[in-house]
Amino acid sequence: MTAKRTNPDFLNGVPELLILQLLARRPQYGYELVKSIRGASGEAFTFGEGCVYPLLHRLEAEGLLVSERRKAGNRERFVYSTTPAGRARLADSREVWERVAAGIQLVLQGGADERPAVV
Amino acid sequence: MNDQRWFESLRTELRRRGLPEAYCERLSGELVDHYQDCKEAAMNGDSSLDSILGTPREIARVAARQQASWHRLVARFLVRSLLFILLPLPLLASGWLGIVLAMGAAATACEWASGASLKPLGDAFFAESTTLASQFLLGLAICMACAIVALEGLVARKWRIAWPWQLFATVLISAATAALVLHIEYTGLPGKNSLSAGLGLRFDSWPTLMQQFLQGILPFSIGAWIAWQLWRTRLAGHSSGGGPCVAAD
Repeated sequence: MTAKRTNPDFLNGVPELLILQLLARRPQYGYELVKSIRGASGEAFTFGEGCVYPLLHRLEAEGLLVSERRKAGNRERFVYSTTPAGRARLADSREVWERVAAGIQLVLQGGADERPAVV
Repeated sequence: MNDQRWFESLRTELRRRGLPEAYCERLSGELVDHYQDCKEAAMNGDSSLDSILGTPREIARVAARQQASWHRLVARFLVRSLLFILLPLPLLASGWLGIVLAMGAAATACEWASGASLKPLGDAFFAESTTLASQFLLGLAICMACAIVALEGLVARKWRIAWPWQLFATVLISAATAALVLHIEYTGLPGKNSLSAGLGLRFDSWPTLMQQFLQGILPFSIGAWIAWQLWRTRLAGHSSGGGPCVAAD
Protein backbone atom coordinates (compact mmCIF):
# COMPACT_ATOMS: atom_id res chain seq x y z
CA MET A 1 0.00 0.00 0.00
CA THR A 2 1.29 3.46 -0.82
CA ALA A 3 1.98 5.65 2.19
CA LYS A 4 0.22 9.01 2.43
CA ARG A 5 2.62 11.64 1.07
CA THR A 6 3.37 14.90 2.85
CA ASN A 7 1.40 17.79 1.34
CA PRO A 8 3.78 19.05 -1.39
CA ASP A 9 2.21 22.50 -1.73
CA PHE A 10 2.78 23.19 1.94
CA LEU A 11 6.43 22.20 1.62
CA ASN A 12 7.35 24.55 -1.21
CA GLY A 13 11.13 24.97 -1.08
CA VAL A 14 11.65 22.75 1.96
CA PRO A 15 13.16 19.72 0.19
CA GLU A 16 15.81 21.95 -1.36
CA LEU A 17 16.66 23.43 2.01
CA LEU A 18 16.92 19.99 3.65
CA ILE A 19 19.06 18.58 0.85
CA LEU A 20 21.48 21.51 0.89
CA GLN A 21 21.73 21.37 4.67
CA LEU A 22 22.42 17.65 4.81
CA LEU A 23 24.88 17.68 1.93
CA ALA A 24 26.71 20.65 3.44
CA ARG A 25 27.49 18.42 6.42
CA ARG A 26 29.02 15.70 4.25
CA PRO A 27 28.85 14.38 0.68
CA GLN A 28 26.26 11.62 0.25
CA TYR A 29 24.68 9.50 -2.47
CA GLY A 30 20.93 9.43 -3.04
CA TYR A 31 20.01 6.50 -0.84
CA GLU A 32 22.14 7.80 2.03
CA LEU A 33 20.55 11.21 1.66
CA VAL A 34 17.02 9.82 1.87
CA LYS A 35 17.99 7.96 5.05
CA SER A 36 19.52 11.18 6.41
CA ILE A 37 16.33 13.13 5.70
CA ARG A 38 14.23 10.51 7.46
CA GLY A 39 16.61 10.25 10.41
CA ALA A 40 17.29 13.95 10.87
CA SER A 41 13.62 14.93 10.58
CA GLY A 42 12.35 12.21 12.90
CA GLU A 43 10.38 10.68 10.00
CA ALA A 44 8.39 13.91 9.67
CA PHE A 45 8.33 13.70 5.87
CA THR A 46 6.85 10.94 3.79
CA PHE A 47 7.61 11.12 0.10
CA GLY A 48 8.35 8.96 -2.90
CA GLU A 49 12.09 8.46 -2.54
CA GLY A 50 12.52 8.53 -6.31
CA CYS A 51 11.39 12.16 -6.33
CA VAL A 52 14.63 13.21 -4.59
CA TYR A 53 16.73 12.51 -7.69
CA PRO A 54 15.12 15.01 -10.10
CA LEU A 55 15.60 17.63 -7.39
CA LEU A 56 19.27 16.66 -6.99
CA HIS A 57 19.75 16.88 -10.75
CA ARG A 58 18.20 20.34 -10.91
CA LEU A 59 20.34 21.60 -8.03
CA GLU A 60 23.38 20.19 -9.80
CA ALA A 61 22.39 21.91 -13.06
CA GLU A 62 22.08 25.18 -11.14
CA GLY A 63 25.62 24.74 -9.84
CA LEU A 64 24.54 24.38 -6.22
CA LEU A 65 25.69 20.74 -6.05
CA VAL A 66 28.33 18.68 -7.79
CA SER A 67 28.21 14.95 -8.29
CA GLU A 68 31.08 12.56 -8.64
CA ARG A 69 30.87 8.97 -9.78
CA ARG A 70 32.81 7.00 -7.21
CA LYS A 71 32.76 3.77 -5.26
CA ALA A 72 30.56 4.04 -2.22
CA GLY A 73 29.48 0.96 -0.32
CA ASN A 74 29.70 -2.02 -2.63
CA ARG A 75 29.31 -0.26 -6.00
CA GLU A 76 29.85 2.94 -7.96
CA ARG A 77 27.35 5.73 -7.36
CA PHE A 78 26.82 9.42 -7.90
CA VAL A 79 27.96 11.09 -4.69
CA TYR A 80 26.64 14.64 -4.25
CA SER A 81 28.24 17.51 -2.37
CA THR A 82 27.54 21.22 -2.09
CA THR A 83 29.46 23.88 -3.99
CA PRO A 84 30.32 27.33 -2.56
CA ALA A 85 27.23 28.63 -4.44
CA GLY A 86 25.17 25.91 -2.79
CA ARG A 87 26.42 26.88 0.66
CA ALA A 88 25.65 30.52 -0.06
CA ARG A 89 22.11 29.56 -1.16
CA LEU A 90 21.76 27.48 1.98
CA ALA A 91 22.74 30.42 4.21
CA ASP A 92 20.26 32.64 2.37
CA SER A 93 17.44 30.10 2.52
CA ARG A 94 18.07 29.38 6.20
CA GLU A 95 17.87 33.08 7.03
CA VAL A 96 14.56 33.41 5.20
CA TRP A 97 13.20 30.16 6.63
CA GLU A 98 14.01 31.24 10.19
CA ARG A 99 12.19 34.52 9.66
CA VAL A 100 9.16 32.77 8.17
CA ALA A 101 9.11 30.11 10.91
CA ALA A 102 9.39 32.77 13.63
CA GLY A 103 6.52 34.69 12.02
CA ILE A 104 4.31 31.60 11.83
CA GLN A 105 5.14 30.76 15.44
CA LEU A 106 4.10 34.25 16.49
CA VAL A 107 0.79 33.92 14.65
CA LEU A 108 0.11 30.49 16.13
CA GLN A 109 0.84 31.76 19.62
CA GLY A 110 -1.53 34.68 19.20
CA GLY A 111 0.95 37.28 18.00
CA ALA A 112 1.58 40.74 19.35
CA ASP A 113 -2.00 41.81 18.68
CA GLU A 114 -4.52 39.22 19.79
CA ARG A 115 -7.61 41.33 19.18
CA PRO A 116 -10.07 39.91 16.67
CA ALA A 117 -10.17 41.69 13.29
CA VAL A 118 -13.93 42.29 13.51
CA VAL A 119 -15.65 43.12 16.80
CA MET B 1 3.79 -4.52 -11.61
CA ASN B 2 7.14 -6.32 -11.68
CA ASP B 3 10.43 -4.44 -11.43
CA GLN B 4 11.28 -4.66 -15.12
CA ARG B 5 7.89 -3.31 -16.15
CA TRP B 6 8.08 -0.54 -13.56
CA PHE B 7 11.36 0.78 -14.99
CA GLU B 8 10.08 0.47 -18.55
CA SER B 9 7.00 2.41 -17.53
CA LEU B 10 9.22 5.06 -15.94
CA ARG B 11 11.30 5.45 -19.12
CA THR B 12 8.13 5.72 -21.18
CA GLU B 13 6.73 8.39 -18.87
CA LEU B 14 10.01 10.36 -18.91
CA ARG B 15 10.23 10.21 -22.72
CA ARG B 16 6.58 11.15 -23.05
CA ARG B 17 7.38 14.37 -21.20
CA GLY B 18 10.23 15.14 -23.60
CA LEU B 19 13.10 14.69 -21.16
CA PRO B 20 16.52 14.12 -22.76
CA GLU B 21 17.64 10.53 -23.23
CA ALA B 22 20.84 10.98 -21.18
CA TYR B 23 18.77 12.38 -18.32
CA CYS B 24 16.35 9.41 -18.48
CA GLU B 25 19.25 6.96 -18.40
CA ARG B 26 20.93 8.61 -15.45
CA LEU B 27 17.72 8.89 -13.44
CA SER B 28 16.81 5.27 -14.15
CA GLY B 29 20.32 4.14 -13.21
CA GLU B 30 20.24 5.98 -9.90
CA LEU B 31 16.78 4.62 -9.12
CA VAL B 32 17.94 1.07 -9.84
CA ASP B 33 20.81 1.60 -7.37
CA HIS B 34 18.46 3.12 -4.84
CA TYR B 35 16.01 0.23 -5.09
CA GLN B 36 18.87 -2.25 -4.81
CA ASP B 37 20.05 -0.52 -1.63
CA CYS B 38 16.54 -0.62 -0.19
CA LYS B 39 16.22 -4.31 -0.87
CA GLU B 40 19.64 -5.04 0.62
CA ALA B 41 18.97 -3.01 3.72
CA ALA B 42 15.38 -4.30 3.95
CA MET B 43 14.58 -0.81 5.20
CA ASN B 44 10.99 -0.99 4.06
CA GLY B 45 8.66 -3.80 5.01
CA ASP B 46 6.65 -3.11 1.90
CA SER B 47 9.26 -3.35 -0.82
CA SER B 48 7.18 -2.65 -3.93
CA LEU B 49 8.72 -0.05 -6.19
CA ASP B 50 5.62 2.16 -6.07
CA SER B 51 5.67 2.32 -2.30
CA ILE B 52 9.40 3.03 -2.03
CA LEU B 53 10.22 5.24 -5.00
CA GLY B 54 6.78 6.52 -5.96
CA THR B 55 4.85 5.73 -9.12
CA PRO B 56 6.57 6.20 -12.51
CA ARG B 57 4.04 8.91 -13.36
CA GLU B 58 4.74 10.77 -10.10
CA ILE B 59 8.53 10.65 -10.61
CA ALA B 60 8.24 11.71 -14.27
CA ARG B 61 5.97 14.60 -13.26
CA VAL B 62 8.51 15.79 -10.66
CA ALA B 63 11.39 15.37 -13.14
CA ALA B 64 9.56 17.38 -15.80
CA ARG B 65 8.74 20.09 -13.28
CA GLN B 66 12.37 20.32 -12.15
CA GLN B 67 13.57 20.48 -15.75
CA ALA B 68 11.04 23.21 -16.50
CA SER B 69 12.22 25.05 -13.41
CA TRP B 70 15.81 24.81 -14.67
CA HIS B 71 14.79 26.06 -18.11
CA ARG B 72 12.97 29.00 -16.52
CA LEU B 73 16.09 29.78 -14.52
CA VAL B 74 18.24 29.76 -17.66
CA ALA B 75 15.71 31.97 -19.47
CA ARG B 76 15.66 34.39 -16.52
CA PHE B 77 19.46 34.46 -16.51
CA LEU B 78 19.56 35.27 -20.22
CA VAL B 79 16.98 38.05 -19.87
CA ARG B 80 18.88 39.54 -16.91
CA SER B 81 22.18 39.32 -18.78
CA LEU B 82 20.58 41.16 -21.67
CA LEU B 83 19.05 43.84 -19.45
CA PHE B 84 21.94 44.42 -17.06
CA ILE B 85 25.08 43.46 -19.01
CA LEU B 86 24.50 43.82 -22.74
CA LEU B 87 21.92 46.58 -22.96
CA PRO B 88 23.22 49.43 -20.70
CA LEU B 89 26.16 50.59 -22.83
CA PRO B 90 24.37 50.58 -26.22
CA LEU B 91 21.47 52.32 -24.49
CA LEU B 92 23.81 54.97 -23.07
CA ALA B 93 25.55 55.53 -26.43
CA SER B 94 22.37 55.62 -28.49
CA GLY B 95 20.53 57.77 -25.94
CA TRP B 96 23.32 60.33 -25.82
CA LEU B 97 23.75 60.36 -29.59
CA GLY B 98 19.98 60.65 -29.97
CA ILE B 99 19.87 63.74 -27.77
CA VAL B 100 22.80 65.37 -29.59
CA LEU B 101 21.18 64.68 -32.96
CA ALA B 102 17.82 65.87 -31.65
CA MET B 103 19.42 69.14 -30.52
CA GLY B 104 21.01 69.57 -33.95
CA ALA B 105 17.68 68.83 -35.61
CA ALA B 106 15.90 71.27 -33.28
CA ALA B 107 18.41 74.01 -34.15
CA THR B 108 17.91 73.34 -37.87
CA ALA B 109 14.14 73.40 -37.40
CA CYS B 110 14.41 76.71 -35.52
CA GLU B 111 16.49 78.15 -38.35
CA TRP B 112 13.98 76.92 -40.89
CA ALA B 113 10.97 78.20 -38.93
CA SER B 114 12.38 81.60 -38.06
CA GLY B 115 14.28 82.16 -41.29
CA ALA B 116 17.19 83.47 -39.22
CA SER B 117 20.56 81.75 -39.16
CA LEU B 118 21.82 80.39 -35.85
CA LYS B 119 25.37 80.23 -37.19
CA PRO B 120 26.55 83.35 -35.35
CA LEU B 121 25.27 81.80 -32.13
CA GLY B 122 27.05 78.53 -32.89
CA ASP B 123 30.20 80.38 -33.85
CA ALA B 124 30.13 82.32 -30.61
CA PHE B 125 29.51 79.19 -28.53
CA PHE B 126 32.14 76.96 -30.13
CA ALA B 127 34.69 79.58 -31.05
CA GLU B 128 34.68 80.89 -27.47
CA SER B 129 35.67 77.56 -26.11
CA THR B 130 35.35 74.08 -27.55
CA THR B 131 36.13 72.90 -24.01
CA LEU B 132 32.90 74.45 -22.78
CA ALA B 133 30.99 72.73 -25.58
CA SER B 134 32.53 69.37 -24.77
CA GLN B 135 31.76 69.93 -21.06
CA PHE B 136 28.15 70.51 -22.03
CA LEU B 137 28.04 67.32 -24.07
CA LEU B 138 29.74 65.43 -21.24
CA GLY B 139 27.10 66.79 -18.87
CA LEU B 140 24.45 65.38 -21.20
CA ALA B 141 26.18 62.00 -21.11
CA ILE B 142 26.26 62.08 -17.29
CA CYS B 143 22.54 62.92 -17.17
CA MET B 144 21.81 60.08 -19.60
CA ALA B 145 23.92 57.69 -17.48
CA CYS B 146 21.99 58.71 -14.34
CA ALA B 147 18.69 58.15 -16.14
CA ILE B 148 19.71 54.70 -17.35
CA VAL B 149 20.98 53.70 -13.90
CA ALA B 150 17.66 54.83 -12.41
CA LEU B 151 15.76 52.94 -15.13
CA GLU B 152 17.74 49.76 -14.41
CA GLY B 153 16.92 50.26 -10.73
CA LEU B 154 13.22 50.54 -11.50
CA VAL B 155 13.33 47.36 -13.58
CA ALA B 156 15.23 45.52 -10.82
CA ARG B 157 12.76 46.70 -8.21
CA LYS B 158 9.66 45.92 -10.25
CA TRP B 159 10.80 42.43 -11.26
CA ARG B 160 12.51 41.71 -7.94
CA ILE B 161 15.89 41.17 -9.53
CA ALA B 162 18.79 40.64 -7.14
CA TRP B 163 20.89 43.69 -6.28
CA PRO B 164 24.21 42.40 -7.78
CA TRP B 165 22.70 42.70 -11.27
CA GLN B 166 21.82 46.34 -10.64
CA LEU B 167 25.23 47.00 -9.12
CA PHE B 168 26.97 45.39 -12.08
CA ALA B 169 25.04 47.56 -14.54
CA THR B 170 25.85 50.61 -12.40
CA VAL B 171 29.59 49.87 -12.43
CA LEU B 172 29.47 49.31 -16.18
CA ILE B 173 27.63 52.56 -16.91
CA SER B 174 29.68 54.62 -14.44
CA ALA B 175 32.97 53.28 -15.83
CA ALA B 176 31.90 54.09 -19.38
CA THR B 177 30.79 57.58 -18.35
CA ALA B 178 34.06 58.16 -16.53
CA ALA B 179 36.08 56.96 -19.50
CA LEU B 180 34.17 59.06 -22.04
CA VAL B 181 36.46 61.52 -23.84
CA LEU B 182 35.16 64.05 -26.37
CA HIS B 183 37.02 66.09 -28.90
CA ILE B 184 35.47 68.90 -30.91
CA GLU B 185 36.99 70.56 -33.90
CA TYR B 186 35.07 73.64 -34.98
CA THR B 187 36.03 75.55 -38.08
CA GLY B 188 32.72 77.30 -38.69
CA LEU B 189 32.65 75.90 -42.23
CA PRO B 190 29.78 73.61 -43.17
CA GLY B 191 30.90 69.97 -43.30
CA LYS B 192 34.28 70.76 -41.79
CA ASN B 193 33.40 70.46 -38.14
CA SER B 194 33.82 67.25 -36.21
CA LEU B 195 32.88 65.69 -32.92
CA SER B 196 34.77 62.55 -31.94
CA ALA B 197 34.02 60.44 -28.89
CA GLY B 198 36.08 57.65 -27.39
CA LEU B 199 36.70 55.73 -24.19
CA GLY B 200 39.93 55.90 -22.24
CA LEU B 201 41.55 57.03 -19.00
CA ARG B 202 44.19 59.75 -19.00
CA PHE B 203 46.73 58.46 -16.49
CA ASP B 204 49.31 60.97 -17.70
CA SER B 205 47.38 63.92 -16.31
CA TRP B 206 46.09 63.90 -12.72
CA PRO B 207 43.60 66.78 -13.15
CA THR B 208 42.06 65.08 -16.21
CA LEU B 209 41.96 61.75 -14.40
CA MET B 210 40.27 63.43 -11.44
CA GLN B 211 37.73 65.01 -13.76
CA GLN B 212 37.04 61.61 -15.31
CA PHE B 213 36.53 60.19 -11.83
CA LEU B 214 34.01 62.95 -11.13
CA GLN B 215 32.21 62.17 -14.41
CA GLY B 216 31.44 58.68 -13.15
CA ILE B 217 30.75 59.41 -9.51
CA LEU B 218 27.18 60.73 -9.89
CA PRO B 219 25.70 57.76 -11.80
CA PHE B 220 27.65 55.43 -9.54
CA SER B 221 26.26 57.06 -6.39
CA ILE B 222 22.69 56.81 -7.67
CA GLY B 223 23.12 53.20 -8.78
CA ALA B 224 24.88 52.17 -5.56
CA TRP B 225 22.10 53.76 -3.50
CA ILE B 226 19.47 51.83 -5.50
CA ALA B 227 21.46 48.59 -5.13
CA TRP B 228 21.68 49.21 -1.39
CA GLN B 229 17.90 49.69 -1.25
CA LEU B 230 17.41 46.44 -3.16
CA TRP B 231 19.77 44.66 -0.78
CA ARG B 232 17.88 46.00 2.24
CA THR B 233 14.52 44.85 0.93
CA ARG B 234 15.72 41.46 -0.31
CA LEU B 235 14.41 39.54 2.74
CA ALA B 236 10.99 41.12 2.58
CA GLY B 237 10.94 40.35 -1.14
CA HIS B 238 11.77 36.71 -0.48
CA SER B 239 9.19 36.17 2.21
CA SER B 240 6.40 37.62 0.13
CA GLY B 241 7.64 36.06 -3.06
CA GLY B 242 6.57 32.46 -2.56
CA GLY B 243 9.20 30.96 -0.31
CA PRO B 244 12.93 30.86 -0.07
CA CYS B 245 13.62 28.20 -2.66
CA VAL B 246 12.49 27.07 -6.03
CA ALA B 247 9.34 24.98 -6.15
CA ALA B 248 9.87 21.48 -5.00
CA ASP B 249 7.96 18.35 -5.74
